[in-house]
Amino acid sequence: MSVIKVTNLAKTFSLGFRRKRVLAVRSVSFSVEKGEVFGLIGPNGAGKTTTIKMMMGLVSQDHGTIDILGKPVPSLESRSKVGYLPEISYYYDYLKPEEFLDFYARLFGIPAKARKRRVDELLDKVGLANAKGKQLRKFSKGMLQRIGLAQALIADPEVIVLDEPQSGLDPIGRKDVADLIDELKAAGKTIFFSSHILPDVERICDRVAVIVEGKIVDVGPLNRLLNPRTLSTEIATSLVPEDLAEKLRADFQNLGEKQHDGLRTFVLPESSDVSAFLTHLLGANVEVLSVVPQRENLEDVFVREALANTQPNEEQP
Amino acid sequence: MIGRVYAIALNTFREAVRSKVLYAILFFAVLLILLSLAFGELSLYEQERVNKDLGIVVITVFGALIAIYTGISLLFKELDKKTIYTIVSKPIHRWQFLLGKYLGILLTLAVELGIMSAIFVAQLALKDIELNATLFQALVLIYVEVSVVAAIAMLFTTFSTPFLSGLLTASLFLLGNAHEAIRTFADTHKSDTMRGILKIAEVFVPDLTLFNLSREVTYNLEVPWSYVAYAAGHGVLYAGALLVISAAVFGRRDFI
Repeated sequence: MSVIKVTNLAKTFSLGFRRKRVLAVRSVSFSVEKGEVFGLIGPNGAGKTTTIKMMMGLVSQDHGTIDILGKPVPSLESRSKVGYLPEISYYYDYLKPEEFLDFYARLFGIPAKARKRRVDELLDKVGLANAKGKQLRKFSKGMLQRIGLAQALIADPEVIVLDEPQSGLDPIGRKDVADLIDELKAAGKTIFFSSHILPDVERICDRVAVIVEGKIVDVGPLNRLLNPRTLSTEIATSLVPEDLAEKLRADFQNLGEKQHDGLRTFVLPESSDVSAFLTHLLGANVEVLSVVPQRENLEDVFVREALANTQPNEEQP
Repeated sequence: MIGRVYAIALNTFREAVRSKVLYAILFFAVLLILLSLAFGELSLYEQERVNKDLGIVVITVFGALIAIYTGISLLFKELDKKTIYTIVSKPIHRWQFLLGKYLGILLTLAVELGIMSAIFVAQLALKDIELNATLFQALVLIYVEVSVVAAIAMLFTTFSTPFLSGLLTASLFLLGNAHEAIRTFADTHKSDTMRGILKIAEVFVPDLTLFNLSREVTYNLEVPWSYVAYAAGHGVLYAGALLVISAAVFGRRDFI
């Protein structure tokens, strides 16, 4: 049984005084299995946050169904084993971190003793044990994101939904979040998250759904979405005699070249014989500094899908 | 269930007592209560009357101001800063959230009115002015009145902007204190249309004069406790009805 099952979800908002109708989500279906890290990616305004809000009962869907752990959304049962980190930058800044987490623990009905233990445990886990007694208004952005993550984990949820968890964080903060997700995955948790930081998604996710203009246009394991073929190979070298360079250009069609700081990088297209090229270089005693095969990454998939599915001049929320 | 409502109420109360704005309002209220002493001194034979009158008016007006401010800001901030996302996504009903908010606001109002009342009563005691039951009954009913005002403010905030909510609540507070005038005009106005409008206003504008015992306090008139219970019961029912409507509006709302 899927942990999260979303079927034919659709939502149109009526915004402003004139109740202008804006289509946010038109056809969203996917399922997330137990223990999976599932990423939802898409350009701004594609419907990622609206989809998550419908999953969390913040926005009601016009059509379609959502089940979390076999319970229909919206219902208290569907939310009782789910931790959620919204994309917000403010938390109750007059509270101290221990008060903040205690508050959320009370919302889950955790008894007093267990609450205290859980709060200390989580503050330790997210590296905020030393910030006890300090009001959240004095926290940095990274610290706020960590306390936000801690509130999502307060009830030791089975499913964790994270909306842009790495947004606005510096590289160290992003790495901390990625490490925490790895840790949660190792603990058998199911993680659903949206992001536009594609290298992080690529590193963390087992499966990805691409959403464009409110529609899921592709969903699957990363190794299926990403083209496994080598698209090109970049070979960096030190000085290359000009006559050798001429010969290489003649022998290898569509050979690309880049020069930078006295180094020459050749770009061999997909069909080229890389071994033969290297034999030429090594035979002429040219120093080969690196050989890097270039494969399609998530960003290429994202751009390809977004461009293929974007209808010009259509407004998005 | 109670634990969750209590958690929201406690958080709301914490936010209020750690807010500088409320201290500023309270400071001015206390200042005016103390100033009523000076006004009392100025009036040669009416010292007691002026002292009591001004004190009751200051506590009512500032109590209402605090009720409007807390009723709007403590709910609106959750929506504006989007902390509501972290609450509504937890296993809690939306009505429990609203009830918790309201109870937190009531607790805040109790503390604020308690401080103003204590200073008012202490000031009267220092001037050897008689402290009778009517005075305490009046203070209790002011608390009920501002509780109704807070419920009105919360209702408007569930679907409107803070500015509009403040304007509408303040208008209802003023009209509610002029309820007798509305009733009189509704019966006597020459125009049929105006009489119709005033009749509708008479039904929908809360009769806040029920909670006003300033005349009785000033002239040391006895008020039966049964009246206090009747007026308080009326206030509780009115606030309860407003909360039910707020919960219905809030329950259907999308948090975009």
